[in-house]
Amino acid sequence: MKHNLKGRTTCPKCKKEFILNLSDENKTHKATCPECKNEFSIKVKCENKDGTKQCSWEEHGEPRKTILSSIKPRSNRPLIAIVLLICVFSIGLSTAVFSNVFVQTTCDTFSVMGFKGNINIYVVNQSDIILENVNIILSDKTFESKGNGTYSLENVTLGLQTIQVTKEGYKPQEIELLVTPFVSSEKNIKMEQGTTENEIIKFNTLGCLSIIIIFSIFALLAMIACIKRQHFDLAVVGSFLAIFSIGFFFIGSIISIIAFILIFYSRDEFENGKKGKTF
Amino acid sequence: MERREKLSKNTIVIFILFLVFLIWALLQFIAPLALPSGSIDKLDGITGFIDNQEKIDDMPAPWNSIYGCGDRLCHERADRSFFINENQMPFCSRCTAIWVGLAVGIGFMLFYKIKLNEKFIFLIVLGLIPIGIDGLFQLFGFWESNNFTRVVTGLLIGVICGIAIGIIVDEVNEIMLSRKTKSS
Repeated sequence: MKHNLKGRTTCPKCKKEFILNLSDENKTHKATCPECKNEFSIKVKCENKDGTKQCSWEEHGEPRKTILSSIKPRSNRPLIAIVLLICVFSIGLSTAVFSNVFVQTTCDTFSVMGFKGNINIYVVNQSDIILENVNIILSDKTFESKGNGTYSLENVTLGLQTIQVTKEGYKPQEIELLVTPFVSSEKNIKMEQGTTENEIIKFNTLGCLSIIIIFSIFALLAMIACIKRQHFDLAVVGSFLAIFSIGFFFIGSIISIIAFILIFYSRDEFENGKKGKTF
Repeated sequence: MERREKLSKNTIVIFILFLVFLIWALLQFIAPLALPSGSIDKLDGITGFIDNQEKIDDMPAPWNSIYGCGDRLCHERADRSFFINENQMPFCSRCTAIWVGLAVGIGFMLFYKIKLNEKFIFLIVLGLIPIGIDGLFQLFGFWESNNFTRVVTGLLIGVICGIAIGIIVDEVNEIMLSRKTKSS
């Protein structure tokens, strides 16, 4: 057989690229991958155009698994994910609406259970030089100096607390801090020289709760994809974004992670999943 | 994306949702106008805490409930909020834009129908990237965003979420219809 067609091809099975020599006859040729020995067909098509012979080939891999794979029995995983995502949405919404109750009751509950918080303060001056002998007071308790400009106070009542920071020759400051259990509240303070009135620095919240509502909506979107058992990518993205809806005691995030894992492991059951049934 | 032609059950649901969000967004602009000029200022507080109970108690209904919601849901920092009639708005600029965006997004879905598919992920990413970059960079101290960027990023994610709500209504209706057809 005379080989006068040469070209690069890719094995549909192992994706190995190799050079192939074929004859220019209009027929289907068998090609064998040098790597995995997989056989696949290549249809050569030659025609005369403007007096010159032009050839091309069409590659036909083995029948795709997506067509041939049998329908797997449906599991309950997407169904569980649906229920969890509804919970995430409800928790997200209620966290936003009853946020004040949530923050206060969380602190109160942990306080009743005997939990306390710790505060660490790091004080520097305007030139970022560490300041020692700074007087930091919370109610009647004085912070203990740990050296290197770090001051700490342990066993602090949970919730919003205001500390007073004073040093001779520097402007005094009143700083609000949210004291939480398990995680120490940390604050870097920069003191300015001068003798003016107390500077009040309010607690700076990371963001607004409207964002929680936004992320909760994505949980609903993922839920729809799960109900339809379609759009696997959307279900994954939606459940992932729902993690940021947080919820009471991070329950929303935890449930979203579980839903995300369930969706990921049931990807075969989605019609256009990574090993989906539609072509 | 296709135009909605006939009035269906889900269009009515979307219309009701649109009305709710539109009224809610409008009330946020009307509230500072309805209150005496220069009476509402320095509402700065913590998200999730009621920081301005006294000021809110002094307001007449229904403006007290709107400012009450703002107090709970938003930090209401004066430097990050708009002022109308010399009164601070009940939500910060980003939150206001999100609420307006939600109304706009749902309003858009009144006229157009978007099928739920993977392409919507790009829209979600498109909405989240600007607000994510702006929020995170601000959090880590790379920059302090201004009210313009807050409005743009908030509006973008709000509109996309509004569209998502419209899609959810359409899809729920479709699922219910297909279940009815199967059972009959």
